[in-house]
Amino acid sequence: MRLLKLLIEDVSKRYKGSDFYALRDLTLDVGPGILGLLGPNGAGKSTLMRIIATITRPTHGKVYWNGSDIAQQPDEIRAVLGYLPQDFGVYPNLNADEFLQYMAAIKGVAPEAAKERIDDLLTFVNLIEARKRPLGDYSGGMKQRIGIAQALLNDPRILVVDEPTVGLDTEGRVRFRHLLAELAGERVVILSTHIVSDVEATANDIAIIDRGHLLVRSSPEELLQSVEGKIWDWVIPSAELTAAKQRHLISSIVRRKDGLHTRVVSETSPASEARPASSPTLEEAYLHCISSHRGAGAE
Amino acid sequence: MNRLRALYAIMRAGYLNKVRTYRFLIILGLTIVAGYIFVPAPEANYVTLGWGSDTAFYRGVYNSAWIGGMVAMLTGTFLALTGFYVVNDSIKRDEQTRVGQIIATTPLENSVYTLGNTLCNFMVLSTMNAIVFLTAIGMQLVRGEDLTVNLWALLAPFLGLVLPVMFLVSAVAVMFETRPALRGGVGNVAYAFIWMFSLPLLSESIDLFGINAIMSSMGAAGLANYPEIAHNSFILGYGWGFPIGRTLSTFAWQGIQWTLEIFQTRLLLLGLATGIALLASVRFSRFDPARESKKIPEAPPSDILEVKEVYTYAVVPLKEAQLRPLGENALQFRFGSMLFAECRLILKELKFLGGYGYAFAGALIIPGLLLPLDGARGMMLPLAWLLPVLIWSKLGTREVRYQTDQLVFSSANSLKRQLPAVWLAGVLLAMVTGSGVALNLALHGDWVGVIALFVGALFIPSLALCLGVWTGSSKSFEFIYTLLWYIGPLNQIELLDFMGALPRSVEAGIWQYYLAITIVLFGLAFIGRKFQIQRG
Repeated sequence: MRLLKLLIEDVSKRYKGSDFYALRDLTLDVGPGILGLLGPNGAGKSTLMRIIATITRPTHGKVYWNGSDIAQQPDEIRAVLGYLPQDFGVYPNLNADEFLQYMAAIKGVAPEAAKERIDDLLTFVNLIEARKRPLGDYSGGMKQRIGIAQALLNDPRILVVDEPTVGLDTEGRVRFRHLLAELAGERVVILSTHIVSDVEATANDIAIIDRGHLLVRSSPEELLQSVEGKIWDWVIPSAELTAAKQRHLISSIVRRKDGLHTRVVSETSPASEARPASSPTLEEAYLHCISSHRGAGAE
Repeated sequence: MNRLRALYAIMRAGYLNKVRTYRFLIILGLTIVAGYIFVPAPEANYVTLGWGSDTAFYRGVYNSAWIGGMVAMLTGTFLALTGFYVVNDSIKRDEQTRVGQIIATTPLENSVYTLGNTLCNFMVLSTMNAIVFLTAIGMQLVRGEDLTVNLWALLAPFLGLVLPVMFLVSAVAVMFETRPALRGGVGNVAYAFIWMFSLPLLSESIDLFGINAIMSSMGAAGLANYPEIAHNSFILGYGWGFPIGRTLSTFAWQGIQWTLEIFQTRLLLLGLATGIALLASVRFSRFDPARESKKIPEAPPSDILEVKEVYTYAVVPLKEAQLRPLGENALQFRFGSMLFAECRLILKELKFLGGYGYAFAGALIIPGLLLPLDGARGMMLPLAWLLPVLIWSKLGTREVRYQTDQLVFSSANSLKRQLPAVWLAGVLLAMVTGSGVALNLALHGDWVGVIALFVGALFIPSLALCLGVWTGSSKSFEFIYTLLWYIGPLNQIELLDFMGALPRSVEAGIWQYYLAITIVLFGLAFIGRKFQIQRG
């Protein structure tokens, strides 16, 4: 099998007429499997996705797909790319079948192969019964599923999906995760999201970016390991919640008879009565990563 | 007080949003150019206002009064058309940015909203007028026939004659935006027709642009100096190709006498515009798509459950869903498939004609074949090529308009594959709708006529694609094409007969120019799309 490798080398992106850098000196190499790209809103995730999808060019740095510079030879990656942008539209007068046939023609999928593929994809995204309805009548979640289907039309070697589960219901989200897991073995998948549970369920590799910088690149296990002993169970009266929030990073709150059961992300124990929590979650590891880097930046 | 504050806030936000764009800077640039063109030099081979024949031309001395009156009349007429297209996206902007949904949840009254947007439009058009006014001052000094600048004489025609018309245009633009049927391309084309046919009538009856008032005053001054003016034709607008060897005679005109009648007409216009702005609020949907739907649920209450079931689809169990890999040779681009997909997209656009799109097309093709040749190409061809204007106008803009640009442009070779297919689909549409006339020409052995028609079929989508790609809006094509269609084939101006509707233009080989222009337009569209794909 041909080597599948995406190399992002020292990439920066500054938008025209602005001094603001959406990305700064970012380097990543990505191989087969699912890379979960996590970061808060405005971290630069979508900019990176657009650069990989050849929609936007980096201000500095290069991106290579199997050794080819995608700015110089964009069709090398476009030919094998499946891309689901964060914001996209559809042609409202076409139905799902017609729209996917249109996209298949653009992507160069032969009509006979496209027909079978569209059947499979519409079944997978659970739109088979709605396939003849105009897309203009679709709900947001249904449009999102059409977006997922079009991204997979050409059986892509590299799949770039930006906030793919936004607007999906629970069932749709579970199906999408299942689909990603099935696809992952034989292709490069980059899943950009701010929903940690999506990454938790699918990714074998995680990159966290914030304010355009790469903060962490590790496996989920390593990331969880990094917060071992830094999560605390702490029961506080309701009246103390505001003060506690101001002093500590609280990852969850559950109201019980004896007060609020909070989980605090902290290097040290927030109070003498707090106890080390068992099994930190990936969300807590993510929060710890972001807050510790922001804290370091502030210092 | 709150209403006034809201009115001001809507006007201000809309105005700032519109003027802080490169598009507006370009429009201002074009406005300055228009102001320059409106005051031709004595040696120029065109005139804009005066009385003339092949041998003589009479006009006022370029003093403040003449330049003010002349530029105001031309600006009023010109901006009454173009200004509409500059401002008719105020409500659309709120809809697209979804700010409208937030506005809809506030206590703001519809009437305040539509009036606020009318004022916003008016401010934008007034800014354009102010630029023309400043250009007019400059032009008086540049032409140098009278260097005494009388600011009031220059300004008064703008204030008294043009601005009320601008207010009317602003209100009409808002009215069009609040009516779903007039909001898009249909409204753009309809307004061009209103301007072409109705506004001249209104000018005659209520002196909409104040042309009659100024003209009679100028005429009186001219006649007092040169009685022979009475035997010359009055020229207002772009008198292109005016004989260079004519003798130029000038006379002094000191400006319009402001009468009560003029004020009454202006007040009537302002009242009419305010009425239209308020009327626009009556059926304004307040950004509720359900209120704009033409589908009225007819099902009785007992059928509600059934209706709900239609929209509830069974979930296919995940274990039954399988994604088979694509075969070895599945990835093979076929231009035929791409063209078919683009043609289907075009045919779906005929939805705006309801179920009668194909019947309409047939009704245009068959008479084109059966009518006598002159009637077929002089009447049926222009008609056949007016119907698809709203489809052609989407060429090159569809991807941005429907936000599919990221999907399409991230596909391999979209520039070499999809763009030619889009263009060819537009050509095929022209060929099909013009096929009756083409066949008629062929049956009469007029093969040059067939070639001229074919060049027209190539030219129209090229113009649409080029304007669409570069402006990002379908409006520019809808406006320019409708105007070209009206002035050229319909008014029998040979030079603008891009479709070979006039036997004289075909004989003169005008189509050869349009073939060259077509190549340039397609090339520009190609370059523009390349920029679109490689932006960033």
